[in-house]
Amino acid sequence: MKAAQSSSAAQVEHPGADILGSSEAGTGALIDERRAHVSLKHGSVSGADIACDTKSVAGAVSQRACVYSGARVVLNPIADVAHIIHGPLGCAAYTWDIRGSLSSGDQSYRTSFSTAMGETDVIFGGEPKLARAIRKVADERSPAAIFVFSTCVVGVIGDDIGAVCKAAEAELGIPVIPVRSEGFKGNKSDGYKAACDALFNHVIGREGVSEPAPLSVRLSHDGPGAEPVDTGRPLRQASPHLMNILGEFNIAGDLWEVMKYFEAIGIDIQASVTGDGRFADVAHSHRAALNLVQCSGSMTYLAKKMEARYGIPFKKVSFFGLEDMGRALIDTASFFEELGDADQSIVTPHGDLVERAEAVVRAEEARVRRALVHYRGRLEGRRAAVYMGGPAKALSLVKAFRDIGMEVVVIGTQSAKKDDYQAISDAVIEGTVIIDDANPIELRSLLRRQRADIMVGGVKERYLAYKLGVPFCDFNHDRDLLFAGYDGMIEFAREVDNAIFSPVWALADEDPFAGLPDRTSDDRRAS
Amino acid sequence: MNAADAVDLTVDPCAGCRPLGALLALKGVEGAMTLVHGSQGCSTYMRLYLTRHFKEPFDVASSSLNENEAVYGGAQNLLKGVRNVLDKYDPSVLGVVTTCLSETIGDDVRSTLTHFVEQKLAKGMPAPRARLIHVSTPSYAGTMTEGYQAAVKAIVTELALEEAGDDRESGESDSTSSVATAEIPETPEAPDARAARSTPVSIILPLTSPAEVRSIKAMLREFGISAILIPDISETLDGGINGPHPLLPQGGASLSALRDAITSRAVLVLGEPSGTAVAEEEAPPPLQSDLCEAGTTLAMTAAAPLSLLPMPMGLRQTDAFLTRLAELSGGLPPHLRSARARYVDALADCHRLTYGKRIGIIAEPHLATAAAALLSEAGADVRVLATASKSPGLRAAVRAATSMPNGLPVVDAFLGGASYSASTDGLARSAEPQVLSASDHSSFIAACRTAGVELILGSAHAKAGAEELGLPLIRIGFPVYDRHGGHRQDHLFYDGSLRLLDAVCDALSE
Repeated sequence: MKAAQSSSAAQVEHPGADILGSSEAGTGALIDERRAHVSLKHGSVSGADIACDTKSVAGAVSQRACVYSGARVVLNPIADVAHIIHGPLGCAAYTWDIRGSLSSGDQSYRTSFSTAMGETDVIFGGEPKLARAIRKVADERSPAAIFVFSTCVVGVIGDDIGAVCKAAEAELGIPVIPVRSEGFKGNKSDGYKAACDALFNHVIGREGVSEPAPLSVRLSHDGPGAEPVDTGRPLRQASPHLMNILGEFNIAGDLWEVMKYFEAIGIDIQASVTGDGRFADVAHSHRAALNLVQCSGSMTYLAKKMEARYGIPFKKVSFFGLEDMGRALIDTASFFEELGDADQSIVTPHGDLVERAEAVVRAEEARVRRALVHYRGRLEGRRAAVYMGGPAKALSLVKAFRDIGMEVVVIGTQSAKKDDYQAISDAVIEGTVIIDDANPIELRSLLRRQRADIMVGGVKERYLAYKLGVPFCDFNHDRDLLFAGYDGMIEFAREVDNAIFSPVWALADEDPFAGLPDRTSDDRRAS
Repeated sequence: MNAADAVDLTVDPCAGCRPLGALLALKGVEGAMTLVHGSQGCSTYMRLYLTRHFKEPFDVASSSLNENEAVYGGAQNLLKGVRNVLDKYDPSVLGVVTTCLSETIGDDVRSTLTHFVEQKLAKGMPAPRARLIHVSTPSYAGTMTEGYQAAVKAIVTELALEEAGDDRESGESDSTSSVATAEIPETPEAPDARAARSTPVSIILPLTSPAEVRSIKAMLREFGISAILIPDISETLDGGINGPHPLLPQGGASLSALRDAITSRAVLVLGEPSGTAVAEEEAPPPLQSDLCEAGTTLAMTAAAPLSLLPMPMGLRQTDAFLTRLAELSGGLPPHLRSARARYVDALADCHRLTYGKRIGIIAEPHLATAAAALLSEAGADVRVLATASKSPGLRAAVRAATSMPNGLPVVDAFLGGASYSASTDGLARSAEPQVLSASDHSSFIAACRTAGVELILGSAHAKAGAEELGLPLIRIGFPVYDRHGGHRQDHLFYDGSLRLLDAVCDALSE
């Protein structure tokens, strides 16, 4: 089914009251201020004028988190560093062990470090405690670097974490990097920026960090997911075609899955920012010729900065779904082929990069489509609701669902921008509801109104869907299934099929006791 | 400078922050909705953390403070948040909890809420249907344990006592007409006590699982005791799929039940060490000061006796609770005698396996001490006990929990378990457990390593440390997000204790 892609006339309809008018409370599901955040794809109407990128409405039960959370999730996968959370205990506790980002070796990132600020720190300032905490981590753990995150209360009392980090770095001789992520200073997107700023200002191009072999060269030596072992075997020669991947967080091993295809084509990965990332890799990421941006919401900002300073172009890609995965491989290959044609210093054969990419894509697509026939037969015509953090995955899901015969009828994100909603609006079918910064009441109303057969989201949405009898597929940080690349697409289809065809939903509709009277306590006593 | 502030670095924390505990307690009030006065992330992260454990939707609103409010004050956002929540969720109670941000910028939540109601009345509008209550929970003061207790205290003082007082003044009398858990039937054993038994007993609970609250309710039914559980998360945090799902989960202690608390003929506070007495000069400080304070206030207002009791886990702690119930109901359901005998039989069956085994426990104070008692009864040697909370009553509670008739196990250093190193000096004779308050997983694991611990009881967060030591982990407490049924753990009474004992034995037999 083709979406109405001709809709460039950005006339918009905000039928919030019509879409979400009848809620169980009788007052409508929408808070007035939220009306402009809901839109219906209808005829030539575009979703691009949807209100977005604003502060969440107080009392609206937004699913969004804070600045700190945005910074934390982006930087957390850098595996060989210590992440110290400067703030009260909770900020560290709630972000510990919540992401399925995997590391092929070093597990330093999994330890939760906090200054666990107490009352006296808040009254007299937390800088001395932070300095001692940094010293302790450096002494006892010797990480490659230390990231220090600021939280709400740090911003209010005015601790100068930049000065503390600078002094600690001079004293300890390891990089100590401040992340300005006071929770209240914006929203999650501002946290992504804070993370990117920390990387751009303090890590990328940093002097005094010895240059590692490209990530993919090291991983192909040890095998993805394996602990690095010293086999005595030398590393293979790196390809002259070096790129970074930004915004791939290696959930359940997604990065390793796509890396093998790039390797097969002849393209190496210098650094992953940040899934299975290493400090030295990121520090040398400015040596690559291209940045592939997978999670555009969090990493486009960094890619633009790197383009401006280092002249590294970037491409937005997605590794999820057949169409996007194939395009990522072929576009990347043609970028390097063109680069090789232009740059005589690259002497390694490059002329067949695109050919190789196309061959890989042809073979893999054929294989996956054969595997999907089974699922497509069962899932054809079903309807999906999608609520994601950012727009990239949401858009990929629209296409991926079509690969298994399904259409997305509700689509929303926490943090997409105008352009993103335009792209989403162009991609979805007539009658799809587009929603920005949704909350549980709105989501439950939409699941019913749009008769969704499955919901895709994160853990906060999971149990809401279940209570309404709607199957669910987790496509967030904490999922444990690999969804990237070609095998990931099959895994996704299997997961959707499992969710929808589990016996539970039919059983939930049965009510064998409907006609039976309640037995009173008197009866119980009589027995 | 207090103890927690003196610890510069917390490595792998073992508790959430103060507001999180308050959200949990407020979930035990029927029709209650909560609002976190702070940055948007606070409510979202707490929801995430709670949802992963309970596997239930857990809606929490936020006043979504931003930079502007941090500078100029958050009262307007708070009011807007309150209005929106009242409008969309129509709760019977709205609990507003604070955060480090709103506390540090100095927002006066209580007067903002009072002003909100007064303004409505002044404009001739009806007062909101919802009772607005405020719990002060600066995240830098204490942990979720203290936040939970603070909210329970607010529930007692603002919903039970103050509401009941309001009713008396306004002449409303429905407070005496209904008994909280009306379904609890009377048992035939003691019909003469029936009239007395229709008067409720109030039971103040520390954080327990929904399944454990259901177990307590079932036990009360066995005794024919009407009771008001404060709070009651048995249904709200472990609901079913059953037709249309309401915006706010069903269940919880109702406002009318809470108002009836003032008529209680007895007040029980669970989670205190055995032998704790109130108002005794020599008595050690309570383990849960705010829960005990709430209990004392309620008991004094109701002119009812107050009992501080341990969690009914293990033999003697269950005995104590059931004895109190028997006193209140006039008799003991006979099958409990055989249940007790079966538990003693199980102790006999397993004592060879458990005797002298070195155990590390990391959990909330009431649970850690209760589990320590259960294991000590099995002859196990609780070597390390850690909590994030820094309750001054902890040491005394652990001592009470681990004191056994024949003293502590005597372990031969050279014949100890496989992981025990003979070169580790000074461990041959068991001493009192090492008690770590204001602890984290890292110090707990370090202490377990030194003490040659053989088995760990803790939350899902203890997993990494247990793996590091190569030890089995039995998951108890909160959060348990990496196993199904973490929120359905039930280690209460003889049968529940038996489940935990079996799990311990199975782990030691591996």
